[in-house]
Amino acid sequence: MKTRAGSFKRVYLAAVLILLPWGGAIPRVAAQPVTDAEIKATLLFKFVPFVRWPKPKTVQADHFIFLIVGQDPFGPVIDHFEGQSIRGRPLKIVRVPDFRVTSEEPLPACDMVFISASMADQLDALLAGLDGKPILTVSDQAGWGARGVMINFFESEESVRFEINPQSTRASGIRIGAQLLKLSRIVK
Amino acid sequence: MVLLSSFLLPWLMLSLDPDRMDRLAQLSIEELISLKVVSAEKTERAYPESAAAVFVVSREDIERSGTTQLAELLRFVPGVQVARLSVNVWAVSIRGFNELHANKLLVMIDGRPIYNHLFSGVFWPMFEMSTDEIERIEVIRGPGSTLWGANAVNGIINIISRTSEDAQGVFVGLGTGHQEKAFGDARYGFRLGPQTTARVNYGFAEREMEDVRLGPNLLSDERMQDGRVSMRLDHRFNNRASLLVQGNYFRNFMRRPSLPADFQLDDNGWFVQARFEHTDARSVKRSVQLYADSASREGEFRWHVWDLDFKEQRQLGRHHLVYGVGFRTIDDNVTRGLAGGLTFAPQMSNEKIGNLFVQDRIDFRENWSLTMGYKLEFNDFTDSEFQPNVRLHWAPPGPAALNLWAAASRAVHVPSRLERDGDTLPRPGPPLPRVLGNPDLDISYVTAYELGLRSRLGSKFWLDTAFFFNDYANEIAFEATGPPNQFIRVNGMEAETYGMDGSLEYRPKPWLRFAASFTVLEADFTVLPGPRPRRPLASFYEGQSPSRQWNLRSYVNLARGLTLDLHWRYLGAVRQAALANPAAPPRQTFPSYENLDVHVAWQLPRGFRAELVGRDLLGEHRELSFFEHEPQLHIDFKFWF
Repeated sequence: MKTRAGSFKRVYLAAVLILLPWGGAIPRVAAQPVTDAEIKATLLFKFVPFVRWPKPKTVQADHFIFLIVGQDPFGPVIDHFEGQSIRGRPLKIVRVPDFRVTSEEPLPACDMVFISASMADQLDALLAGLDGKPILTVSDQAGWGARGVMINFFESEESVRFEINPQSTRASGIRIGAQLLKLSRIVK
Repeated sequence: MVLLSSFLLPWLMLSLDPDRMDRLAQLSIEELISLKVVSAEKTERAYPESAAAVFVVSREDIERSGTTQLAELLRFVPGVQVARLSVNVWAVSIRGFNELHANKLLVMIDGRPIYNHLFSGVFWPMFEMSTDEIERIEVIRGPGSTLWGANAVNGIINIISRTSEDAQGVFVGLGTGHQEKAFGDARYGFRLGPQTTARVNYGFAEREMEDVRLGPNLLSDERMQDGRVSMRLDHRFNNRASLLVQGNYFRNFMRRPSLPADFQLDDNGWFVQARFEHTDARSVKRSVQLYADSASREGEFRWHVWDLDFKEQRQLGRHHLVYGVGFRTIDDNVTRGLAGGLTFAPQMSNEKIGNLFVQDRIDFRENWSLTMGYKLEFNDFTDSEFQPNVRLHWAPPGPAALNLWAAASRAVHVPSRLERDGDTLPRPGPPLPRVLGNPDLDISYVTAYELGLRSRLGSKFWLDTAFFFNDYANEIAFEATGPPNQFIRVNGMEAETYGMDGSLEYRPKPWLRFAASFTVLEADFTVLPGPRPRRPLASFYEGQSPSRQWNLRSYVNLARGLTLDLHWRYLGAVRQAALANPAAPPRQTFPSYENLDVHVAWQLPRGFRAELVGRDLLGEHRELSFFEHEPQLHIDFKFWF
């Protein structure tokens, strides 16, 4: 056993010696990796030109309001877009990290909502409350597109892709342009 | 590790570039969706608002552990004791009581309990799974019997497999190493229709523990071979209903040189499971699950299980209700039990277990919730068992996402078939005490009090910790009966355990993550005086699980698809577990140890990953048995398209 452990030590040392220069050298020339949060945040507002909301029946808010329900997965990345003009109105990001679906407190008024992973146990109730309202719903959890979220991000071959549920958009009066549908996976 | 990261840090100048988001915003949607992202880092915290101590082993943790065995993934979970007793035998428990026949845990795969009724524990080798098949593992510390079912005395481990929708395409993995002689798995995931996906997995493993000294005169070269096929089908009827059908078959062979003849185990088994879920327009969610399960060990035992469960969830105003019923029947035939050391009388048995449960979560004053649950369980041996729990949860709003909770609960352990009917067989060699089963055993139960805290600390730390005090009554002791050196199991021991466990996450940069977990466990056992003398085993039980465990993990995404992950752990000293014969524990102490696992992976932009895994690199150690953990390496190549 001693000899086996001894020979093992040599192999281990050799492996460490081989790996160390790699670990040191490669990052130096590395390009900056992009995180999925950065891609998703950017895509969110890229979608807007392809989305047609129904004509508002009441007076519109001064801002284009983007709501994040549940724990915010984006952080400072998405704050970058705050104040930028979206559909002619400055973007306002509102976070509701501790939202619970109860009849007493409704979701704040908004144009677009991102439903975070932390809302998993309340998803169906939350969607039921949004049913028929002209609010674009977005999420990034497997299977949530089929459960009724309009645009759902998923990962495929290490890129961020998205699926669209036309049934849900139709029910809310929102229309999504053909160019965007073409780039998405359609949830049937 | 400190050395290594300080060496690497200067090279990793990946600070946030302010113009970066602007540059990204200039790209088109087509370009954005074709960009490669660094490994999808989801700090998925399932149940952040639950009033219980929950820890999730995420898919990222699973992939980056480099492990080939399920139990290994539980080593860094706070409050969990893991000890490898031989090449494919594991002892796993939560908050103490760890031994070969650890029996206070509910372990499930996709909601299907996998602990066996023979000793209320898990034959881990029967549940080999490729890491490609596992989505995540949720571990709940503390009693959870109300919602989950029997045996959840000290905790629950729920293994969740990947849906076939998430595992589409072809995947092949092959590897080899010192102890992991050869292992591999293959998966084919395909679409059967617009709303139907399926996957088929195949896996095999051959492990060998070389020349390990098991006893003073016994040098072992233990070997095991395992093969398994599994399938899973997921179908969605519409947005609100879904069907899951899955099953598997496995065969597992193990040989250990022993005296007078080699010791061999030849296991095989299968299961089929179907689950239908439906959410109606009023958000009432119903699920029905049916499964059949069968396992056998050549020349020793076989069993068949049928299980049917119904569950419904609905919201009525501020009440969130969950209720359901379950029924299970188990048939078995045990000719020689548990690795040959025991006989069972009667040889054949049939058990029927039914349960009814209801749980209500009441939300009040915006940030508070109160959960109350009751469960009634009916079985063939003891009266109906009442298992209540009460939980209070408070989540004040604020950037810290603070969660405070407290709970009190009672959970029951129903005597297992081993405890009721098992009798130790005489063995060659020095005479060992004989231990008889006792069909008149009563339940043992725990009353548990817990206090928990979850909070963000600053913007990059996440703390999750729990304190507990468990009071056990009616635990099993060994009382002298009949001829000398013969004992019978009786309800004759009390115990108190207390401590804290938790985890701390720190993600300073998108490419760098640290995770620590800690476990402090103190135990105080008392063998109560009886009409006849009882084995004085209190100090042995107290020392069974390490009183301190520290784990530190680091995950570094270097660049160009290269990642480096380290896992350092410290475990306090333990007394050796009583293996087949709890009345005769050799009084041996295994000293505390610390060790290091390293995982280096290199991944091409698509379709290929190579991994080098080093285990126990700091030297040899033992945990709970004579099994000697030696430094070892394995390599693994994975292809997918």
